[in-house]
Amino acid sequence: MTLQSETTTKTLPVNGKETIEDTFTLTARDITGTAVATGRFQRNASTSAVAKALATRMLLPQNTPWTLRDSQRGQFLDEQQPIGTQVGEGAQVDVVPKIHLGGHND
Amino acid sequence: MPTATSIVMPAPWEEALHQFGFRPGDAGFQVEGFLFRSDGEWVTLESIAARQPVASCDPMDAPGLWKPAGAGCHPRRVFESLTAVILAEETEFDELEPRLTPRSWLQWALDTAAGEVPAAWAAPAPNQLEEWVSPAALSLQRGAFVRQGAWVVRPDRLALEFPIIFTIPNDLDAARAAWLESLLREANQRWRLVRFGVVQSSGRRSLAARIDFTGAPRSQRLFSTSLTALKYGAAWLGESAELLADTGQPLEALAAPPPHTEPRKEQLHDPAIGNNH
Repeated sequence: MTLQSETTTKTLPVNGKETIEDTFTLTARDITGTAVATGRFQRNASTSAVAKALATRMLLPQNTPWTLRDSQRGQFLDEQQPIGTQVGEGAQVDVVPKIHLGGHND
Repeated sequence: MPTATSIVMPAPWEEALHQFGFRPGDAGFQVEGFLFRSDGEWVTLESIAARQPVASCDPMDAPGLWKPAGAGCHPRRVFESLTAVILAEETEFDELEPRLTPRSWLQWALDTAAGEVPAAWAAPAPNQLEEWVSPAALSLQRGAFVRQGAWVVRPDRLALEFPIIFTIPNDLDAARAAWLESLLREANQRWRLVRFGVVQSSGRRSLAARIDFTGAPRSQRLFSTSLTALKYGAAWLGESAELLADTGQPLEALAAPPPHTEPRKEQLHDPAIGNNH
């Protein structure tokens, strides 16, 4: 095996509409705008997993749950949906701490 | 570590081995061209036929669990499983829906040893695969490394795969390529079941981790256990491989190739070296 010459290996077709090589680039900032990270991700990747990975890349605290917000539209991304269904190539997102704004019972 | 001959194989294994003509020997059970052994936790079938140079075959595309083990130009080829995923008992329904038993495991290994797909085998339906392994379980995140795995399904192929590097840069210099190749070799030696290597699609070369189930009896336990192994292996390799392939990050430490990547002689012959469970 050599990484500098062509091989005859074939990538097998993946069942489904998107292949696992279907990727896009996005840029993330923290809410202060001081930490920035750019990464390439699969369109079918889990949104919550991408949020955690970006937070790690930006050296944000790991004991805080993070979520993603579309910088231009201001909408939080749905963690139940793959990231590529919500933002596209060149998207900019904010990595924000996941906080509960609802009331409590005590 | 116990040796093969110190292990008394359970009756279903003894029976299955005898059915296929295996006879006990010094190193394990042998039949022409193959050596079977177990350390109690893993069962291993090794092809002991004339070994072929690495360049003559593509280990990433081989059907079944066969993968090169060890290092050098003539690695051993092994087919391995955790014994815990193989059921000891056969049932009357096995003729209709073969399960992973000692007999069907040996049949699967021998059928695919020559790179052939068993004629009677058919890949499970996609909805069946989703029942066994949910899409959420195919998500992998370790540190800054995040990947979504996928089933590779076609009539003559079934595999689980995680991409490691989406595109190997064409301008990857010789030193970085050598480091990456060295890391790949180590990954392949360290992680049982998982094959790490280069795949090509639409003129683009990428790096992937794969476990191939082509020819396998239906076994959710096999698939879910293998997925765990695949995720561990991909996570182990991921961030380091990404760094090596990122030509946008100049690193003085990577300006020269690794000093010496050939394995020491004894490593070529010790199957216990370089395998994580």
